[in-house]
Amino acid sequence: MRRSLTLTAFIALLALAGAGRPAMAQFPPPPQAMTFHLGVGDVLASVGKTNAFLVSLGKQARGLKLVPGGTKFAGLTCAGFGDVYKLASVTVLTGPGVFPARVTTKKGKDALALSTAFGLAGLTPWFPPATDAETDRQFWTAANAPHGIQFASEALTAGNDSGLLGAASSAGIFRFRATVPTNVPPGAAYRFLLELVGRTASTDTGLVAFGEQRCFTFVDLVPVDVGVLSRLVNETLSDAYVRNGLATRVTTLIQALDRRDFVEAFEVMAYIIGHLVARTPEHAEPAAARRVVTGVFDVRRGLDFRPATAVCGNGTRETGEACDGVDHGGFTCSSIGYASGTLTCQPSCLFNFSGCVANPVCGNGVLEFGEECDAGAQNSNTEPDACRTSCKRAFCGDDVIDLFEDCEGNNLLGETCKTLGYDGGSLKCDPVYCEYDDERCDEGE
Amino acid sequence: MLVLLLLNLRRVPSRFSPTFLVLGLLVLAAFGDASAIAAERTFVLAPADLVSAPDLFGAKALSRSATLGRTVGLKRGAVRFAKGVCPSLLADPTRRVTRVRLLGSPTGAPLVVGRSLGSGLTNALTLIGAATWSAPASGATRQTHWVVDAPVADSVGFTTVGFAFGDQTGALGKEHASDRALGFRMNVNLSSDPGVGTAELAIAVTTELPPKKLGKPGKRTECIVVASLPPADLPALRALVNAAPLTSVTKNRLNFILNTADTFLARGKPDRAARNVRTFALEVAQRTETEIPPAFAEPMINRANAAAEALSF
Repeated sequence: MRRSLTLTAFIALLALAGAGRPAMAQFPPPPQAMTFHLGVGDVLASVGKTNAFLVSLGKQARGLKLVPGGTKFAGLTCAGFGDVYKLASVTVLTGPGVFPARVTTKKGKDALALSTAFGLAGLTPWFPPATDAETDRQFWTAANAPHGIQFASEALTAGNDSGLLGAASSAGIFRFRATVPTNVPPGAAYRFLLELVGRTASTDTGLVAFGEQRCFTFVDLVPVDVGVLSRLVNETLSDAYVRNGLATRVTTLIQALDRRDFVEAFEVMAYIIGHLVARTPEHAEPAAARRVVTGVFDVRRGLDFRPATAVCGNGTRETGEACDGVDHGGFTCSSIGYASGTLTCQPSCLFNFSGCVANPVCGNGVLEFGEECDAGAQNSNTEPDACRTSCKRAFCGDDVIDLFEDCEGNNLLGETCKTLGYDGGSLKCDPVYCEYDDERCDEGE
Repeated sequence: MLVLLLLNLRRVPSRFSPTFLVLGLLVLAAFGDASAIAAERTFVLAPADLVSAPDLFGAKALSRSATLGRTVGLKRGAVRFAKGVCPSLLADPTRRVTRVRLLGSPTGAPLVVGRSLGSGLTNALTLIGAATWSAPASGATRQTHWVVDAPVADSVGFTTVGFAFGDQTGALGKEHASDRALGFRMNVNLSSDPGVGTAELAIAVTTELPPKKLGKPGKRTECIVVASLPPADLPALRALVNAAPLTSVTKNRLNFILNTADTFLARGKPDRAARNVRTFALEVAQRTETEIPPAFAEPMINRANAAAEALSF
């Protein structure tokens, strides 16, 4: 009897657990660490955008007033940033829940007003601590701070103008990696809460003490990770041929970035953009193509970032460097996929792969270094888009009309100048891009 | 005249002589005239641009309120510029755009919006640096349920098909905030060349709330914004090419493609011109990294794609 009761209770518990648990598909994807580039220009522009948002809240931002150059709300004036007040520090905060700790005026009423207003802004909740915080601005540092991550100029501690940023010096990046939700559309921006501190430059005030202004704003940032590009390709391009073809290239890009082969990465990125442009609008909807192109350039910008403290040639591998001297970050020829050899570092802090030896066996179905593909028995020199028997991907000039190709050699697929809408002339196939070359087609007058 | 003056000179004038100064002024005047010639420029807009326009302009107006003075204010939870009120479409999902009108130059704008809104508008637009252009402007739309508005004062505008009787079918709202498909094209004779940058075009955006009575329009609000728009046309592409650090071979090749597009456009074949512009984008993409730095390639490709779409309207 006792055993049967225990069994019944166990079954009931199982049933309850099952009933309470949503279906697997309903679970949101787990949060993921992503890299963001916060531009100095973005920071300065965020003041105006936030002010406009606060105005649009109407009665929900009670007490908001217009002041010259911006607004005053909850005891804080957001005006003249980059102009009268030069940027002295930027803190990326975790969300509106931090206001009670950071704004203690009026017995918490100001903090409540800010929490309410910014709570309506759709801020992205992210999970501290942020990592990899760096900046390419001289005289600025990055460090974890209470409720977020802070980028600060030396001016704050040195009591001078060191590093203060105005609208005229709006170049520069604050970079950080934060764990954010991933259940957003591909290429969508994440909205971060910022706390800005601005200071008047010493020349503005003469011997008078520095003027200081604190202000909360928000900024929309798209991650610069290649994962976003992968999602953009897979989720926004509707044509399966284009999508699958580019997805393969994105995989190649990811592999190149994994082994820090930036030269190949750059080539692949140019390829992706080129072929997307070539297929628009016939096979790629223009708005979707533009988003993917932007995604590629976002990744490219991410690779361009060099922290102000990084020095190529100091023997330590830093952000933006594949290697530095003998510091290869643990990479060897074999870890990258070569059979053997010695990996070296170029003076430009890029790997030199010429000392690596590849020993691939084409046709064994295993992708080895030196091979672009290997589909084993499926390798073919006659099937469109198949891996060729040389273990090279299908290419223009392989005598097969592949994806992204209009023609090959003299095979124009029956098209002529006339069928393309011209009055006559001689249609050719571009030997480099395998596209119709209509320069010799006649335009009737 | 400059040539005649030079022919009459027996020797090169010294650097600070009056003759040299006169020559310098003449050269400046000659170039100044060239840049001041009005040229037809093309601008394209997507629903997302229109939906976000009040917020973007609100940000700009608030940031510049110190110099704009009483031209900018707050009214009913929105930014007021001149006498137009710009409620946010992103903050109020019930509010929708039903009409968009390009306003003439600061002096022509009041003719489009009428006396009540136009009072003080010239001064406001001058203060904020709105572009001047000469009439007539023209436009085209491929946005579903939208038509080109009857031109007022040789300007151009767009309305929903049912604008006159309050039918909001096709009106644009918050749900279009990420719709980047280009739906509206405007051609304007700009007085000055924006080069690789943007032109500040004054636009009146009519927004309205849902109608309370069947067959009658909802409450309408007129918002005047000054939007920073990059031209999407061949001169813009040429400016981008000329501003980029390219070898003469690359520059000549890209300019050759643009010249071909120009030729087709002059012959009244915009589709062929569009194909050439796409070829331009492709060639830029293929030369990115090797011949064209990515920071210069990106705007060229994006602008070329927009220009090709504008030509395909």
